Amino acid sequence: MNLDKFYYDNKLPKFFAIACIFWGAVGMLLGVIAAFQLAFPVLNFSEYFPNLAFGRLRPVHTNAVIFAFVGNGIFTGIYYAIPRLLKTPMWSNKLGNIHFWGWQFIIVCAAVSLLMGFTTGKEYAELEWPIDILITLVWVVFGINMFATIITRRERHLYVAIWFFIASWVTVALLHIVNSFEIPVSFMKSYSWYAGVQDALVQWWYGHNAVAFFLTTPYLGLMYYFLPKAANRPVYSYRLSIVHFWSLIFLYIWAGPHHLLYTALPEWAQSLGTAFSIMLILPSWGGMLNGLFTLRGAWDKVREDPVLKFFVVAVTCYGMSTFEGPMLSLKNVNAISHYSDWTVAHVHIGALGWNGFLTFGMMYWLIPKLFNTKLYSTKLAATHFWIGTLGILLYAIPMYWSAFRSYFMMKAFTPEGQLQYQFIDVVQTVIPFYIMRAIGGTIFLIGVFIMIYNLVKTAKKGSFVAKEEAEAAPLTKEYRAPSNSIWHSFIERKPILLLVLSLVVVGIGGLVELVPTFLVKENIPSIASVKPYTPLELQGRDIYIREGCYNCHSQMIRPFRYEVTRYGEYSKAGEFVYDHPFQWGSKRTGPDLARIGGKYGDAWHFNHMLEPTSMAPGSIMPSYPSLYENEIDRGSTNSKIHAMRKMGVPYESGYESIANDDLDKQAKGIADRLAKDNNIKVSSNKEIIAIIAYLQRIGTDIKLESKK
Amino acid sequence: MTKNNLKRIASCLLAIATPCFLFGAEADAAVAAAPAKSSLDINVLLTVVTLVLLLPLYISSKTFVLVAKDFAIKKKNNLVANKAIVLVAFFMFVQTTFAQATDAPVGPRSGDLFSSATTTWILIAVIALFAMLIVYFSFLTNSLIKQKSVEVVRQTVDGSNQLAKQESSWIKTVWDKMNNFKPLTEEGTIDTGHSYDGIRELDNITPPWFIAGFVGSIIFAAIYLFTYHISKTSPLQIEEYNIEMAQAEKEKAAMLLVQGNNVDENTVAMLGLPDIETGKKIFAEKCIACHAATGGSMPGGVGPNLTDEYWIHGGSLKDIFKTIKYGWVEKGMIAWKDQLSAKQIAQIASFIKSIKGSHPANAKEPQGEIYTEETGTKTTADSTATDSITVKK
Repeated sequence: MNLDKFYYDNKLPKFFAIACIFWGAVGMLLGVIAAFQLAFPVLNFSEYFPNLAFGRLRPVHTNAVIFAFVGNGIFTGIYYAIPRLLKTPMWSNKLGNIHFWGWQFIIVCAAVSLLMGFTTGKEYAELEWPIDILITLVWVVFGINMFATIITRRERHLYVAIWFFIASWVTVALLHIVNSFEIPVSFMKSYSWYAGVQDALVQWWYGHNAVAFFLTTPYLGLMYYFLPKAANRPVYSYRLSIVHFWSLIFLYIWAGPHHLLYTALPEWAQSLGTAFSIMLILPSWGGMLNGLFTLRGAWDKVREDPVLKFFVVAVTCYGMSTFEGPMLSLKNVNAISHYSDWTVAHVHIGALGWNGFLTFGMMYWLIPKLFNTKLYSTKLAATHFWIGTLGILLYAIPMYWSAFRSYFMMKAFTPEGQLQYQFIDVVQTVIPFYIMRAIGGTIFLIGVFIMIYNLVKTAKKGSFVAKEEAEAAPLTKEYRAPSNSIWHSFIERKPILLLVLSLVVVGIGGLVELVPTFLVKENIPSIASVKPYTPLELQGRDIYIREGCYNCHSQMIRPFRYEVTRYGEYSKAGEFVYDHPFQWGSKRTGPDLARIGGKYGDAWHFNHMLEPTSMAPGSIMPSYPSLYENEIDRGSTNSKIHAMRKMGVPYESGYESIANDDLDKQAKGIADRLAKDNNIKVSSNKEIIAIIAYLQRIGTDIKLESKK
Repeated sequence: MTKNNLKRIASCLLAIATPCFLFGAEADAAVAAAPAKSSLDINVLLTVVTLVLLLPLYISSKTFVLVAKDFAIKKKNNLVANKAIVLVAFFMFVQTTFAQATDAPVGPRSGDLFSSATTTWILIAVIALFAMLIVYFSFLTNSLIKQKSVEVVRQTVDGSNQLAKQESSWIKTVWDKMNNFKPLTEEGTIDTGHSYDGIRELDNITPPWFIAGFVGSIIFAAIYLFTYHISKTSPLQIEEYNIEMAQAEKEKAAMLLVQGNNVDENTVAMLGLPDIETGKKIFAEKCIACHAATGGSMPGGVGPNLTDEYWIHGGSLKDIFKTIKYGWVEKGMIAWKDQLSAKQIAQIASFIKSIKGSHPANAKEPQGEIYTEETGTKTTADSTATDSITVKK
């Protein structure tokens, strides 16, 4: 038989690995800074750097960790494993380079634009439309390169890791395109195509499945390659791989609405989210079992080898969070956890434990291989392991604690029926936990720096192997499956079929939940008194989005006694029909704002935005002095109104041309009242006027309805 | 081996006999301690412990049976196994009859299940029995497994000695059983023959509990959807909310009735010094952001000066009470009724009355109209205003 000779390229895996570690350190550092900002608001440095306030920094942190750290981690693994699993080099080095540099360019654009305040206001999909298009292009380049490699393979069957890569690729593409439907207003400003409840559903269908198909399934693929490699043990069960792969990707896509329990989302969708989340436990655990059971007979190695130690904790954390997740999607548990630090703890068990530790394990295994040497210091790696584990614990435990304390404080009533604690009391109580969490994060980050030192030393010790020689026989045209092979091996020979089947399987859940919410009118009962925002309010809303207020403030009151008493009437689906994008939020570091309109006077807001502690002593909100200097962007009013009407918001045709007159009139009214009633002199063209107008409008429409 | 068997039989007898002794002894003790103390909590607790212990008891006995069977098959010697199974069956029998025996006398003797000291002692006895049984089964299982591993070591002579030793822990055996593990030595028989970059794949069967759990979760999901959306027996969120609010309303009404905290804007009266002091404290906590510590606000302050004669919404005690309670939201005064009790509002109102004319430095310029105490003309306007607010609510 003729053997083909070919070379595996190690350059791209090396590049991706460096990028992964670099962005990981940056992303985690930003996380630590953001964590300290919550405990010590002075660290927002609002006077000097309005771009670094928590509301802008947090999206950079989340995006950096998800798309830069984990993203580059995925590509490191894929560019290393795929050629070896398929016995062929990557199809095109050129496309690989475009992919690499394109992705890093996107990351830089993302960081800069988010800090500058360009955001769509949708969590984990904050990037504005030009970057969205770039992402799509680079993703397609990556896809072409991966599929061309698969098609030119010398291995007849696809290994389970590659199933996961294929499903991840196609689903991420689907999620990204559907959720990023937006209408550009100008360069770097757009409105989500969907509004209110529909936007929320699409966003969390995306948000949940970004966790599934960006943080989970590709990493399962990495686990299936690197864990058996490092342990030198056979994968425990082939049929378990099949069962859990298909059930996982089918069930995962349905679970998005569990992020919206007790909200204004139609309840049938909420219930589907819960039911499918529960069914998801075992399919998720399939991956953990296959990982841990693969280590059967190698546990003595786990004690010695830091790589395996990292893998074991990673897989265990994966098992924990995939059990916790479904528990959090039970209604009564979610009532406690939603908007609280519990969710934060949950995602960090996943991000630090599963993604973090799996990446670290992979790097400790891969870098010595790439540099043809041994790890510089196993001892340092073990230190990193313990420091990292300690960091995770110190991070998670205070967050769980704070979640429960604040829950019990929030819902406490005096016997007379008054709320026992004000929101600010709860904030004061959880500050010590925020500090502990920040320390936990710092410790975890120190571990990362130890790893960087160790890996740099390792690289210096060895010499880089740019090309690895390999040989294999090409695939022959005719192939007869052995009689004992199972039906699934047919799919394993057909990558395109696998791609299509994956798409079909993930498509079902999405369609069943999204389509009726868009087409069936009863799902969002309309309220006659709900009217579009005035031009000034719309401008104010865009400032609200720009400053990332949604990172700390929800706008969705759930139907609980303690929320209704604290914030006001619970939110209704019909109230959000003109909200492009929705701003329900997912975390209440500050109070809910769904009924803030009319609760305080204009002067209260004016003083509060300048110095929050003046009106709410003990507040940890950053101050926003720049709002008092920046002028309202009147030039954009025209195109904003125009874009809104295009999406069905009922502004009269031609309103664009007179919109600024209305804006000026309303702004002058607010400024005059401030001057008359409170002796506050402020020019009516400042941004603070717009944001006051928006805040005073939120949630008030429905009151007009009850007055009638 | 004979020694082991002897031991086993002896401990077995002991295990069966002890609870009977115990039960008898406790019954006697209980009869002796005639005036039984009511100890509801401890009995509830003990019952819970008893119920909780049932699970490990069941698991340990089940494991024992499994191991015994396995042992018998492996050794091709049914004798020991049969003995063991007979033993277990006997235990189960004793256990159930015993449980019935304990249940039966409780009812008639005490009338109330959770109120007599006898019950306490019975429960303690049951718990002791359960604990002993659990320990006993574990011990038995362990000894069986030890024998087995000794056999394995003997059979494999050398080479895989270590492997056999590794398997000696009974927890591990249970674990292996639960997951239906194949011994590592037989791995070759389930190799799929796949090799991807040197990664081989085994074809182990999916752990049975995995399949059971998956099916269970699907059933759960079906029931969940059924009860909420088809049979509608579980309350949807708005229904749940209404139930919660009705319950809260009821409790609140009952509380106010008992406490006499039923002050409102029509019945409020000026309070004495201690209450004014309390009012001052609450004022310092909640009100100073807008009205300053002195109550005089400041030039350009958010709230009006409360120390002068000028009032925007009336300066009588009743007016002030009402202003605090319902707020004047369009002017920036928030409604405090959900955060402060009626009594606290009365205390603050009294405090505000008490600082009238204190003329603090750096106060805000006057707003509203002069209010003089004697003009009782406002009362009618007040009551209508109150009504409209109540309607609005």
